[in-house]
Amino acid sequence: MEARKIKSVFLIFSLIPIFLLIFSFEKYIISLLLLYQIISSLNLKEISLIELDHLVSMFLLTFFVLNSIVYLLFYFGFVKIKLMERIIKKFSSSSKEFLSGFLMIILILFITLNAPLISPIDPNFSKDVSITKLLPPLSVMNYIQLKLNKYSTIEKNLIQNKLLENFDEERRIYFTDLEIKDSSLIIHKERTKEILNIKEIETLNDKPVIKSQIFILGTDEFGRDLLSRLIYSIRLSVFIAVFSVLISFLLGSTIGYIAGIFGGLVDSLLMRLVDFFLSFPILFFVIFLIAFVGNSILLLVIVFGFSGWMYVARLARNETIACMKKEFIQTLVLMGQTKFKIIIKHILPNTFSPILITLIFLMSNVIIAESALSFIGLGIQPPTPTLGGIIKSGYDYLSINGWIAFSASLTLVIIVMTFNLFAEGIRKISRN
Amino acid sequence: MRKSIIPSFFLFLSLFVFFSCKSDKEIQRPGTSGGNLFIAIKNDIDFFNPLYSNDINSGLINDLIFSSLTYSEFNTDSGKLEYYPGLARSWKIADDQKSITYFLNTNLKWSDGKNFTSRDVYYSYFLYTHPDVMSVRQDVERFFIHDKDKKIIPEKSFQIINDSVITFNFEFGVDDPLFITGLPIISEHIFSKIPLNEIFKSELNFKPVGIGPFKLENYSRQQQIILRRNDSSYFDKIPFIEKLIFKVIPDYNSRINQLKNGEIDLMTDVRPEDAEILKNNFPEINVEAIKGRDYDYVGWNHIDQLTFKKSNGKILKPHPLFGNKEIRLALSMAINRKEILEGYFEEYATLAETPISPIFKSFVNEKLKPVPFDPSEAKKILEKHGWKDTDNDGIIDKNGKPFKFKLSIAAGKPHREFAATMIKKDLKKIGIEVEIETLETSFFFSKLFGRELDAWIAGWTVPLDLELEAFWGSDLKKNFFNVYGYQNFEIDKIFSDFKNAKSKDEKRNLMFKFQEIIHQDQPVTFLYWIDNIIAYNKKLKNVKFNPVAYTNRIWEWFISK
Amino acid sequence: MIQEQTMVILKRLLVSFLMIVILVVAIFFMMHLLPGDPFQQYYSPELGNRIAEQVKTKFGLDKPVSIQFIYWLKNIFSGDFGFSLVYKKPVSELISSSITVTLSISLTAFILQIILTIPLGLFLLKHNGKKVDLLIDKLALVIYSAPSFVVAIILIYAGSILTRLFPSSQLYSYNFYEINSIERLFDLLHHLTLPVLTLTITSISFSIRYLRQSLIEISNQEFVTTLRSTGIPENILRRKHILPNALISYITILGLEIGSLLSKTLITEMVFSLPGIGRLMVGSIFTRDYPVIIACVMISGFMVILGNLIADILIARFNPKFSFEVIT
Repeated sequence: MEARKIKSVFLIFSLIPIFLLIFSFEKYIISLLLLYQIISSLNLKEISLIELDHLVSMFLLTFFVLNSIVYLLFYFGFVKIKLMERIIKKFSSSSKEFLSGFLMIILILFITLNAPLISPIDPNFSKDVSITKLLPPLSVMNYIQLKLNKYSTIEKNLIQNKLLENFDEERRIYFTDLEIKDSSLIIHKERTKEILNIKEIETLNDKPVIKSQIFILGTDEFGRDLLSRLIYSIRLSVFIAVFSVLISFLLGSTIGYIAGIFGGLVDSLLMRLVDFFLSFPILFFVIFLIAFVGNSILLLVIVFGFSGWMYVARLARNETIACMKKEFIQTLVLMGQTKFKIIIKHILPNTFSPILITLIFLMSNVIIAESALSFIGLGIQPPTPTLGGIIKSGYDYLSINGWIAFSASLTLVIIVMTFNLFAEGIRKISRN
Repeated sequence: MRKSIIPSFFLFLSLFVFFSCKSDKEIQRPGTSGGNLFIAIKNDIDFFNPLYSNDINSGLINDLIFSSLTYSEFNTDSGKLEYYPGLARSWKIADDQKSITYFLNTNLKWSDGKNFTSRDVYYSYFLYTHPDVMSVRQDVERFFIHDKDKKIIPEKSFQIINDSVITFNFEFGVDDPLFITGLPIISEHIFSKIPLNEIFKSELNFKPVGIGPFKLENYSRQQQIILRRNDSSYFDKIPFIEKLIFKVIPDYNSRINQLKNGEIDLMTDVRPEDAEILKNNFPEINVEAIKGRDYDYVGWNHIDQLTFKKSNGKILKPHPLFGNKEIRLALSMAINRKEILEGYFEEYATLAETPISPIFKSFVNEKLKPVPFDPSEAKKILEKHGWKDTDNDGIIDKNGKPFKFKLSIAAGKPHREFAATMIKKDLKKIGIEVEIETLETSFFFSKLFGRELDAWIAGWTVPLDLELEAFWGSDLKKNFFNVYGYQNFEIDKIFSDFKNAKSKDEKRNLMFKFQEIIHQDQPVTFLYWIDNIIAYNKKLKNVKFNPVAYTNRIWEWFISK
Repeated sequence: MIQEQTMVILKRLLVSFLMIVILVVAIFFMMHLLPGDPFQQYYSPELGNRIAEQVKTKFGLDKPVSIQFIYWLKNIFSGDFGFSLVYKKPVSELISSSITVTLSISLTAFILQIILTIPLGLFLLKHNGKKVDLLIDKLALVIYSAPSFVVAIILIYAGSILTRLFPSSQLYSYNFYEINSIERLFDLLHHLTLPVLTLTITSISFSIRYLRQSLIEISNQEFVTTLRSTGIPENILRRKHILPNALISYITILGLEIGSLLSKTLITEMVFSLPGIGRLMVGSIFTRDYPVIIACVMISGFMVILGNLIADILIARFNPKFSFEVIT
């Protein structure tokens, strides 16, 4: 691929973080305020998980945006960066698959890490379900907001201490029609109505403030924004995939390398072990364990980790044996190098590329397996959003709102394809 | 968990036409009778044998194949069961209510051609009450005559007078002899050939021989059950529809799609959101909501689980959060039940205050006021009991312990998921932190019956005879379904009085009192009575859905061309 | 050489057998540790758990697990696989009917895959580099990246909801028992079309890419260019020289697939409500139907081991240089 084409592709990708920063500006500012609050009160013990999540996302988003700015400067010729030019050269000699796979993976990682900031609403937020459910994409719903002082001190504390609590969203009341009679507000919600005093609502010049919420991909059967749910489900899938493959790698490569280097009895024993685990009816075991322990993320990560290491081990062992045959390794052994050092210094770097390919394929398999489990109802349970779970409810409502199943399936296929493409790209490079 | 109903089908032509004052139109004889009706069912039948069938839908199908001495129908206007002749053409109840004599129809034949006699009735009840048979209806034996070792004496309890007359004798005067003696009748000549303790495993449980409006024509496991109308039945009115095909479709979405496609003609348990869509977009499908006997509730564990488990069920310490009835009342007041109802069920549910379903009209205590949605009052009550947010973290606490608990639900029920999410939100507003835990069904029930859960959302179906002791009686070992650990000795007395009650008025007063006490004690937070929404193709005419059985009077349905 | 090979195979068989034994014993004990039991269906308000307890005793499930294991072993050796607590039928009947359903679908898909992949592979080789080739390759990648339930949903939507050509579930029509054998055959085929299509499409998406890759690699090898320079016509070159070599590695893939014949249909069975062994397996775990669970474990363990064995034999015999890439 030409260097010019690559440069322009990079350009487009670098605009994405900037665009998303603008899109999520409000939340970004809130995170900054939170950071300020924490620093000024020096109170690190009481940070909740949600706050930490937002802070990390904010830092990462800032990092990505800075990178984008640097790239823009480079692209328009204001700055010369040798490293950048070398990278572009390397990419131009690689295949299209590698490039597209690589960029998509960066994008996916970006979505995963920045989920709290880029998702429009909390994925589990649902209100006034009777009118917000199963909306088609690009629907807009109007709402009014309850005034803050209607709530007690408990709730006020919630807001003041935790800026990120979804209290703003909780105060919303969606409606299809609004009627004002004297000092009462009649809120129509299709077939039911709610009557409130105007004093309880946020008003401007005595008229209720009407805001609107756009649901870019529509809503699911509980009125939850689909886009937000997809973003968080991507996060979950990638998280599970990465960590389980990490386990597979650690376990598999250790066993594989040891088997390869020591050979003989150790080798046959370890390979028998590998065969044993390969013959395990893994799906069955997963279902079994879920019935035992319940569905937790940790369980899934461990189980998937334990179902993938065999492939890594076998590959690592074969590669090690091939490596061992090489003369210079044999000389090293004769020279008295410890086996451990040989592995780390020589075998590992040489065998890394096929193992990496296997790992990436494993990741795509884990993502598919996890979504299959969620689809039949055995994966992570709702209300946590999972790709398989969303496809499943989309399937239930296929004739009413096909978008749910369609967008979730498309997302899943794109993610898996990304990993597959990337792995193939690496394979092509290593073949050359 | 439910008691299967015991309708039995037999019609006297004249009696029926005279007393069908409820239906405004006369039963129209269709031009041609016949046709096939496709009904979707969620699960395969458990047994083709009323001895063991324990699942409501299986019971309904079995009632099409087997008949009882009487045919019972739930009258929605009066809220009571009414009895018509079945295998018996008439009966006589003794004045002291200690016996009932049935005069059977003669010249009836089983589907294999053998004659029906009182021996079949005797043997059926013999099997129902014998411990070796392990029938799920075994509890009916407590009404009959026992010897000094407390064993039932069949010859005295089910007394054969002659081939067509049989008398049932009870140990004490009973309020409703027809109900007790209304179990489906199975044939003696088939079952007497097998040793009693082998009936359970026998193949005969899948090859039924009965006297009913329909016969089993074909059964394929997990696929379908085909019933053909019994042309040589004793019914004067033979069913209009020729074949009933029950298709086993476990997946809800497949059922709905097949209904829309026309692959099936009738489906029950339609979800509220689909009801609207069917009504608006599918003019060929009728949707009817039947008020029923199923309610959902939020269960609170009254007993501290840890001490219960450690002491092997001996020590019953009150739960630190839910052991107190005022706290439970506060929780009930903090939950916006109406919002959940309207949000998910729209018009297909009714708020529930007590375990007596509104369909039992005469038994509902109308004086009870619904629990109001009043979170500020709830907060006041909690404060009164020492629950305040002392550390400003948004969660109320007492003695350093926050008000936090797990709310468990069984997987696969969207209405419970929805309710759980709303409840979590409602309780958060008054400073209570709820963690929702979804458990796989089998797991959920084992934890439920093991009293290991903190709080949960589940549902019960109210039995027709209103025998609620199993759900609310104080003896926790005996009353298996009292999973919340509720104990109130006043209620026990009401139940024992209820069992021995001689008149309907007595029973009614006892039930009123029962509802008052439950309302005050709030052992659980009653949510709503859920309608059974049935969708069917318009070509099916003359349906008479009933809260007790949607197959009510199925022999009157017909398919118009 | 051959004797050595048979020794290796025998050793593998022995080890495999040992593995199944360990697996079965482990699962047997573990499944009794699962909370919950299959007798919840017998609970009722009137009798509480009395009937459940009675049924439990009748099936010997109130005894300690080790004693239950011994009884089970005894029964196995006399050919009695037990009685399902949920379906009220002998387990052997259940398993045989389920396996028949599953195998008919997966074997059909397997054969279809072979029949379609090979000519398609040749076709792609002929037009290598052209638009058709690249298009099909990319399409295969997209389909490969989609899980089987997504493919199933799309097929159901297209074939059943939109067009009403095929039924969306079940194995046969309601009047199956009334029609004659030929009509029965057609009815079965009608119902199984969508499930078999699902499986075929998903497996072709993998095999065609693999075969295509092999064909291209081989056609770039020296011996092919040498042959070409002797003037052999292209299509004979393709069919008689390149293809056989590529088929060698393709066969190893097929061998690996044998092991998953029974398990990969799980999702398809659930979506199409087919009474196969996958659904039986999942269902039995959830209803704690112990005899069925153990029987399923034995069967699936056996299949996987058999598959791996066949694959290893094929590799050893035909393609010793096979490098493992991950197969789902």
